[in-house]
Amino acid sequence: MIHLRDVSKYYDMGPTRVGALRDVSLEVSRAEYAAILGPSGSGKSTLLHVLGCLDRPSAGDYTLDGLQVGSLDIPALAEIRNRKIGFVFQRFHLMPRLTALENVALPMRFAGVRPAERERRAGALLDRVGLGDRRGHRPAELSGGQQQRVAIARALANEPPVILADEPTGNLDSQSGNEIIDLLEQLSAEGRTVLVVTHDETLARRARRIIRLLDGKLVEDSTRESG
Amino acid sequence: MDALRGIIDLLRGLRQQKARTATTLLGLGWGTFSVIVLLAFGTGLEEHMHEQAVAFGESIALVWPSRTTMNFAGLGCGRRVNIEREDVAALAAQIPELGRISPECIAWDQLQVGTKILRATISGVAPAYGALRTWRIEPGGRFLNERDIEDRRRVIVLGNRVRTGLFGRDPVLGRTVILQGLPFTVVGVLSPKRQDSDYSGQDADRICMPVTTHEQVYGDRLVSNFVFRARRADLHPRALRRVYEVLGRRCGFDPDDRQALYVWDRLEDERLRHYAFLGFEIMLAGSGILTMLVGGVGIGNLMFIRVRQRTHEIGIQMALGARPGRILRGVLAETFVLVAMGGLVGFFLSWSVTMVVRLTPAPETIGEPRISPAVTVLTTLLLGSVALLAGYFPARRAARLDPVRALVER
Ligand SMILES: Nc1ncnc2c1ncn2[C@@H]1O[C@H](COP(=O)(O)OP(=O)(O)O)[C@@H](O)[C@H]1O
Ligand SMILES: [Mg+2]
Repeated sequence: MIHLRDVSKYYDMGPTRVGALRDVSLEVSRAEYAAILGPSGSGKSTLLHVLGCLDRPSAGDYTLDGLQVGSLDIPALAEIRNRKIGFVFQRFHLMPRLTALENVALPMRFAGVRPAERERRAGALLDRVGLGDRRGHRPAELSGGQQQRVAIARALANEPPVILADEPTGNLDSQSGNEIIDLLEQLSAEGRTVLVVTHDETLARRARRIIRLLDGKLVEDSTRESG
Repeated sequence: MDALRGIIDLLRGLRQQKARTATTLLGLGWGTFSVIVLLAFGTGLEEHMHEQAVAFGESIALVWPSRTTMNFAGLGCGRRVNIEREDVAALAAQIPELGRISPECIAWDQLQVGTKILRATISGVAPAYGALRTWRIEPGGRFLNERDIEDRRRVIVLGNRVRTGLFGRDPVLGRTVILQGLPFTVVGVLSPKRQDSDYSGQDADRICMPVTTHEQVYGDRLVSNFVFRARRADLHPRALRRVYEVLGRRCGFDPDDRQALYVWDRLEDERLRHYAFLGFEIMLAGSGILTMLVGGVGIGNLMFIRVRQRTHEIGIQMALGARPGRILRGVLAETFVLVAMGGLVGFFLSWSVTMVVRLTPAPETIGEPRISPAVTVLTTLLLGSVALLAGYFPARRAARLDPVRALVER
């Protein structure tokens, strides 16, 4: 599903150059569930942005689901984000003035799904994350855990094969955090590729595969025997 | 529904910029207002003047004989030019560019009906005079015709003030008026008109009779003047030149002696008025357009603020797969909404002003200000261009945002 070869990302900061990612190579197959670990500033978010086509690598090759991402133009990248990627962010990033239902329907709107169909599918997704009775609520009227569940429902809107979550439990108490992780594990069990950035070692231990970054370099990539 | 919420959202967002939004919208409204109102008044005034010009006579020229200023065929200058009725007939016969022509013999005389006596301008004219000088006749009556001329009939057409002076509101068709001791029958009455100029008095105070009858009654050998219109406006200069040629030959003056005839060229006046108005309107609209552009710059600034305000949301939309084109259109749509609001303010203000002015006596002198379809279309197109200009740059900035950076923006 995901092939990274010698991918680097540099930021030019005046005279100096920050290497947020340095020669990272990675293979992730379909339905894999992996945790990405590393101290703050080690490049985890950058890696996720590159994987999610939000950002383009400075060097190296990235192939997603058979597509050479480096050769795509901006609208094509938007299309990939829309169809193949579901993002879950630490700060939820819901549209504040839209209701839960409208937030979930938003990616379908960008995909050109008809309004009635959007509403039906968004409703079903909210049911699925246990928020069927909160359709008309705005993000400010929901708890952190509920907002993150709306965000997961939204990530699933266009049935993407890949879910990328950047510290999805970082702003949540441990119980809500666990619920979120449960949901993410379910998604992988359904056949989606799920990559979760976290620095919570206990949460990370629930993943079979652990990818560890340090100063932009991949320093560990281990898969445990099933447990 | 979605559109309405978008608008509410936009207005909520701009609440933080209340003063700025209000002044910007007012500025644009004012620009729109000036364009529309100035053009509306211009349109009204031009129509008004045109109507009065037509009431006097559309695209006509009036010609009076004058004195020669050049030697001709051994004759000296300073001689009086005399034009006879036959000379006018010769013009009609020999100048193919001529449309209509009528001689005019003028007397100033008294009319009598019973004990009522009134003085008026008595014009002896041909039937063509009615069309040339726009004599619209009250229903039931008629202007003079060829038989009147041929048979030297004693028939008259009354100016509307002459009619009221002699008969009040009584019916007049077929009634008799005494002139020089002779009975004349009234065959028509002029519909009241507002003419922008006159000679020998206004038409309201004039009566017309067949030129042949006039000759018989007053014994005039010469015409006071004649009136003509070319077949087409573009033939007018040629027709006028031929008038000099034919009359010069017949009346003995050099065709290049411009002073030999006094010509009141209304077509030339109409052309001048048209260009004067065009220049005037371009100037007025130009100043209005400038005001609109200034308003447009304000709207552009507002939209830059708006894009900054919404950067985070734009980042979210991009992360979810909104293409740059969609972001661009979103900002443009908001700009159009703002411009439309300013424009509506302007339209409403100008509409109110024209409605109020119509209730005053002002239209009598300056015409009815009128927001013509052309003005509406022009202003709408202008507003559209302003919106495109104002919205394009903020929209482009929004569409080019880097999604990662936009997402961390708060
Ligand atoms: N837009 C940026 N401009 C400059 N430097 C950046 C930018 N984004 C990230 N970095 C730098 O790249 C490195 C990795 O950042 P990031 O991927 O956010 O780390 P993490 O998510 O692991 O905390 C950091 O040193 C950070 O300062
Ligand atoms: Mg991070």
